[in-house]
Amino acid sequence: MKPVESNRRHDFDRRSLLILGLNGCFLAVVAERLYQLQILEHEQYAVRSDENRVKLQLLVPPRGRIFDRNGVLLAGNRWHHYLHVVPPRGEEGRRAMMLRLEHILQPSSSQYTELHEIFRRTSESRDTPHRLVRLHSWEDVTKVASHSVVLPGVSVRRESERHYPAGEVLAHLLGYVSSVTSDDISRNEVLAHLSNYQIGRVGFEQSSEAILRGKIGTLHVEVNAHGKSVRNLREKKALPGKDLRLTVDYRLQRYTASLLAGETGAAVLLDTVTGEALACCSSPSFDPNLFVTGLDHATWDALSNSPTTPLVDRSVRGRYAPGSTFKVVVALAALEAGHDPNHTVFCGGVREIGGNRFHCWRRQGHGRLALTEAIAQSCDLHFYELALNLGVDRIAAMARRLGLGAATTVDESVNERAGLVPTKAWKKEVYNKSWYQSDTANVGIGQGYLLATPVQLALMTARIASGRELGVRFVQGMANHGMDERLTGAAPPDFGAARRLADALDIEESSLAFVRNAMSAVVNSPTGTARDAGTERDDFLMAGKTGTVQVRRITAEERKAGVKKNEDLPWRFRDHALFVGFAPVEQPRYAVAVVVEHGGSGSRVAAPIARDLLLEAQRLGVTDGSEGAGQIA
Amino acid sequence: MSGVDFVREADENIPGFRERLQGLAQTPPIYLLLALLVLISAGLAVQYSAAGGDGRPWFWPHALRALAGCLLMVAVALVDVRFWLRFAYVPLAMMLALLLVLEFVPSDLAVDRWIRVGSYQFQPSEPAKLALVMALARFFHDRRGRGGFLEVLVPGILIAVPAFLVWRQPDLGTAAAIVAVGCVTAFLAGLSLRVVVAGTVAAAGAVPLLWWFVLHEYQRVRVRSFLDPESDPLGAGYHLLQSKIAVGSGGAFGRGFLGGSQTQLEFLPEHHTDFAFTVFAEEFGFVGTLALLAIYALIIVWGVVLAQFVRNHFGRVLAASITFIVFLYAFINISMTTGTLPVVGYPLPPISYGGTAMLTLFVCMGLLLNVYVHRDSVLGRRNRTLV
Repeated sequence: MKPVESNRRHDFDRRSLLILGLNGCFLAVVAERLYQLQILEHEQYAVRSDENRVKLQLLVPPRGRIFDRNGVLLAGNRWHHYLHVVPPRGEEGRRAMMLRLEHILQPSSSQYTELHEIFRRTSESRDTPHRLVRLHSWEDVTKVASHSVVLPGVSVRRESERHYPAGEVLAHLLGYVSSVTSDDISRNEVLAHLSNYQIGRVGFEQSSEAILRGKIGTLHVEVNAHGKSVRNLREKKALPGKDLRLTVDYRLQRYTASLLAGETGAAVLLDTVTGEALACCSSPSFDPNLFVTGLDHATWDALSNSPTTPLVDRSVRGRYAPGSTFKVVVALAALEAGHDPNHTVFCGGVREIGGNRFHCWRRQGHGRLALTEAIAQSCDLHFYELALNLGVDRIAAMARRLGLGAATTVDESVNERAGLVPTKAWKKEVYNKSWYQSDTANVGIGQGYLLATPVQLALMTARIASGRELGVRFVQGMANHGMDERLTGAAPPDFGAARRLADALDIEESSLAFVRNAMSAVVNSPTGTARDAGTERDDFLMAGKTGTVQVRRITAEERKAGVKKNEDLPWRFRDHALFVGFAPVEQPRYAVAVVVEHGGSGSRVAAPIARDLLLEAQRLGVTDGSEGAGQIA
Repeated sequence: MSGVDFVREADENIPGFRERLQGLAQTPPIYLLLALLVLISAGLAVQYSAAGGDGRPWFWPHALRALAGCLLMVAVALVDVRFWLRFAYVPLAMMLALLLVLEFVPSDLAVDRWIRVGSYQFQPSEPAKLALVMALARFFHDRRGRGGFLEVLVPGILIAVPAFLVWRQPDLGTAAAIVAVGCVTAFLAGLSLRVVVAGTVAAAGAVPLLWWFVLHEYQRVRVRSFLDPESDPLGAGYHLLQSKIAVGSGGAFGRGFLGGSQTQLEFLPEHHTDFAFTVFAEEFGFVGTLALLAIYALIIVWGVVLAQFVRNHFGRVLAASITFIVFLYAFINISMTTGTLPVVGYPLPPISYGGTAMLTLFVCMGLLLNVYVHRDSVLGRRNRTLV
């Protein structure tokens, strides 16, 4: 070995071992790093790995359907296809995806802006696929499906959407569903994960939400980096809710709606044997389907600010003074108190009570009348007398016995208002004032503090007609149904049998018979207030009671200015027209209550509607058990 | 050192072809070959898994390349060392030429490191490291350790030109690796200690300058995202975060072959190329990664130990420097995928998919074997003009 060479070799040996040592140190650092990641922090990364790959999906069972008593579908579900997308990373990728989607779908300009807007909003979160737009045609669905290769992260999903074939006809009773709001989420956290869920708002959709919804299931799915699900890991099955069958007959309901068309008011038709509501209609109405797809501001403003308040269900929430229809209650209270029905009262058109002048609706007076004629001709003075003799508390007791002043339904399926039956104690408590004779007199003709809803008036009539302590039913039954049937529009399930008869009312049958007879005279005697509204069919005579409720008196100035009649006043000051009735007079089957706001005279406006409704119910034989499954055309 | 020390040496102990063949066949470097076999197997497993348990599209090409690489390795090993010594500058010259082509041929993409001929792609910056090692080994072999200005200037130029061209591509990671490989080779080959110390001090001072004047904005973003990857989990930090999740979720024993969800569900980007190690780490766990690291360490130690017994300077420097190239592959790639270094796009042959890195590795191994075969040869200097 030469010196230079040996020096250099010596250097090399030292230096190469130094480098080797350094390399060893660096590799030890790498090993330490791997130890840290894979051993010390393993659990943390294992969790994050699972978070990456496992996504929770909530399985919403198709909502329970609602049928009418004959199996006509009133609220069902329809499939819609929606475009879902996991937005690609980065501005660049999103723009490219946007262009491709536009090219494939060639959306209309409104859809285009929608697409653009949603794409912009969903730029960041890559957690779940975002719902983009609704695909309106099968053509679009197939277009997207056939281009799936160039559209990673894009999928078409089916979602069921609520649909109301009956539209306006049953809007109030059924209610509607609409998208979950932040209020709903604050009440139920689970809803936060159901961004596309629609929740029942009013009517049966709200009151039966839990029944219709069923139980939401969960599905843990493994997804890949493009948000596409690869396989199912764990599934907790969804429990479908129940189908409901209502007591309402769609045909009658539709007919009622047509009778009330153009009016503001409500009509309720009850089965006097079972208490089932056969028709329950409030006018004007609205299309519940609008709420499902989402209302625009203008439509919402129009609906909510309209003076005729189409969103309010007048049939169960509209409170009206019952007016002269209440006279049957006073008559029953008097008879039960031992009043002699042949006792006559003279009507001279006006009398003084508690320092005030009380008029009969007939200015010239009725002369001397017994009770039957007083009901038939609706003499106010006669009932002032009866009421003053009875005192308000006895009248109130009878009113309550007939179903006024309290919720009418036995199944609590309807969100109704109770109405008001005043007593002395009530006035003391609420107004801290004593009860005056004039108050009693007002109650005697169904005015003053007294308030009742149309469904209460119908129940009152049904109880008088049947003599039984009926309750109003809206739901005939509910039943389970497979989820598949629920979406294919199969026939309704079996809802079970009828129930036992209601107990008899605690009222003498003779008193009831007397009042029924007097109500028949209202329609069928030549002196009756509703003599022009009879059915003119001997096998199906109607009995009833008219009511014309003053909204505002005609003032002295107006009288001077020539306003003689109610029709001359502006619409909003005109009288409410009321009628309650039942038919047939012998062995009643149907009871009805009609309220037409500002309709004027009860006999001319409300009574014919009630008559037509009763006739139609009879013609259709609604309660005969002739049940054929039908469909709304 | 003075001129007195200079003694002309003749080549001695050059084995003939038959002896070279016998040397390799009768006393094969069994540990090195076994280590390579394990690495190739690991690579094939990863390529199979990355495709979701499918031979296509990566497994079969990868296997073919590995086979071709092995043949090439043996061929390189059996060539007379004097051939490699004589033509030691040629590879570097060729790589520089190709890098110049890349520099001046316009390209659509912002980052372009590839020469394309038909369906074949070639990344000249990869073998440039080896070419540089060969050139420097030859240079110092001829210099015989006499020091002087030339011994700083020439290696400086040899290192700086390819590093600059690669940085221009821009490929910061490989450029840094070229500089590192060049410096280590020069250090091993006998660069004066004073130059080494001065160079180290200068390099430390240059870091801030590099940051502000040399790095591109996107490279700075990468470094920043490396320093705080959680700040931008869907943007620049996404790759790294997903990679760390994959490595970490592997745990002690891994999630099993084909069982890594990060890999199979495509959360890992580039999972068959630069992040192939992550696939391995997820499916084989700490036990697997430690074994892999040990295998790379084995190759490195084997090469350095060999270098201690080699009787010619060219072979010594070559062997030790080649182990440094192998070290850099393992160190940079694993550090990058585990988040101790910025994501710079540095492969891990023979695990990563990619022909150029694989080719480079096998030529490296071939030269290592060549040094092994010629360990007893004594080689005279080749270039008198440099003396």
